[in-house]
Amino acid sequence: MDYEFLSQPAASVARMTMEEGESLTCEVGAMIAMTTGFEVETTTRKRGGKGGGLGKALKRMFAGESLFLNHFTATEPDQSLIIGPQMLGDVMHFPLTGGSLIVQGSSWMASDTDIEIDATWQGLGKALFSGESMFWLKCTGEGDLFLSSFGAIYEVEVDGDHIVDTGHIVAFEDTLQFSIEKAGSSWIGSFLGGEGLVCRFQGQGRLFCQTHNPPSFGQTLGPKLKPR
Amino acid sequence: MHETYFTGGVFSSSIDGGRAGADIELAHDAIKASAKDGQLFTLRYSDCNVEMGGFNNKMVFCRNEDRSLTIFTEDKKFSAALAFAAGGLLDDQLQAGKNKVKSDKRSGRNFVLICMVCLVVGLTGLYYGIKIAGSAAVDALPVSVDKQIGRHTFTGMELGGEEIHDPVIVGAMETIVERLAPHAALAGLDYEVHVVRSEQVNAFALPGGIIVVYTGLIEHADQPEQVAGVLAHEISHATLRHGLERVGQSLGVAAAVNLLIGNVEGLVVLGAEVFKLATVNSYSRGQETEADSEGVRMLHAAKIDPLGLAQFFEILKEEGNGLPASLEWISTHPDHQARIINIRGLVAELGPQDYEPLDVDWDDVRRRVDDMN
Repeated sequence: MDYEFLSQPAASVARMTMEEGESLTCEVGAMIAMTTGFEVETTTRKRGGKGGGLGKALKRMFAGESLFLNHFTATEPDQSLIIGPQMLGDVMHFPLTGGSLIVQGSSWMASDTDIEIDATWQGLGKALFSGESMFWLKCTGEGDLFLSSFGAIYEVEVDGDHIVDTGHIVAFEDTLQFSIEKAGSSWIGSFLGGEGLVCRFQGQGRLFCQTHNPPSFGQTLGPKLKPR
Repeated sequence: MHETYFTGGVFSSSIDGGRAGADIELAHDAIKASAKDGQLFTLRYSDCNVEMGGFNNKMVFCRNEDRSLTIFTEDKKFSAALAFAAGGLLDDQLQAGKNKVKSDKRSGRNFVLICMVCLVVGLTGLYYGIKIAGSAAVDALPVSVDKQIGRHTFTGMELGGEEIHDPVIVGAMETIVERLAPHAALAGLDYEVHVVRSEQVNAFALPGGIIVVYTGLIEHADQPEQVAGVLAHEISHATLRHGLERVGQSLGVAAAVNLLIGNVEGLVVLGAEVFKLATVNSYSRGQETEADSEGVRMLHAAKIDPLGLAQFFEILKEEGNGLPASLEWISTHPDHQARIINIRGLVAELGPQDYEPLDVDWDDVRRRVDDMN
């Protein structure tokens, strides 16, 4: 499977070129266009997985994803599939080579069918104050992973400590640990400064951040919308 | 017996991308990691710096001095196996790592607890802040609001009998009210007396000054001072604005918010609904005691003998045994024996006063009421 990204970074989409027999698991609604040689299967579990997968599907829902997964399998050679995120922003490719990548709820867009996607609880404090979903998606296995963001994505190589504002996290390697703390030295200063709470990452690994924050955008835009 | 082989990963600049999955072996004197790309990495126990961390805080990281090589795994059995394989060399570091994990968990729990406490305190403060602000706003409201609520409530109200317009009976009630009105605690109320033909021994005053007296009450009073006592008590509810207080308490935060945003009309409608749904005399015990004190003060100032109120309680107490259903007024005013004692105490405290009789032909009033039955 080959891939290329179009219209980066403001309105990115991914175009996949797949050979006969190759499959890709996508979030529901991600497909924008495709050639006719695809078989589409919708399930609550990973393709070829055993059992109903309803428990994991429900957990995925809490993480901001859909109950169902769409599996696209090319039934003819040289097929093209275009997928894109719901929000305006960037898409990225992450080659998973063992280990796990922790992905913010709504940032998972597609992955190889061999990759296990499970929701993982982040703890009550992080769930309430991280600015992200109550659950994170834990992607485990080997293969290609495609993620999306609101705004552009940038990568940070963490070795020690790194601080990110809440709501700006896309994904991070499982070797990183994060905690919630106040942005400044005092609580009052933190909130008056507009930063409030931030996420402190510790350890060694890669962190992917988005340049824009969906809740802040919603708070800015919401009051300007006319009531329906 | 401890396991020797584990699955994990390696961080090294020699690996493409800097990280790779690896098979880990706890050998005789070193940790060995075989990366997926075939590279072999070795970290001697004596050079190993151990840390705990990762997303779930359960990963064990073994690093060399300059952090150019890190071997890690999430396997729960690795920690104990490493301690055994290193022959006690890494025990202190492993224990420190475990202590840090415990400390992190404790800090996390404390953080959540503090946030929850702040949230509860904040919401409670907001709730009571709005109520207090609402109460202050009630005090600042003009008397016209009381009048509107009273009028709104009285319009269409089921009085439980026919209103009578006998000039002697109504005139007697008006005379009593006219004597009391100048001494009211709240100026600006428009007093309006309505007499209703009914066996109910009852009277009430609505916010704003509308007073309703039942003929049953007149029948049971031997002297006009006794009726004056009851009316002074009821007028006190209006002058002390107990009605608005009750509206505020019944509607709670909704009333406070209405007041704070200046929606007085909304409050009038809601307030009238509260009065229509509840019994007009259902005030709190504290408000009743307050109305007793204020009533006694008003009677004393108007030179009407306040003991009339206590005497009326005594009449009802004596007759009450046989007429529980009709004694509406006293039934909403419990514990009358204690109140009789309280009233007598209040009168004694006020000191001597030259009480002047009410200019009312009470025998004529009673006769006319009797003739109606």
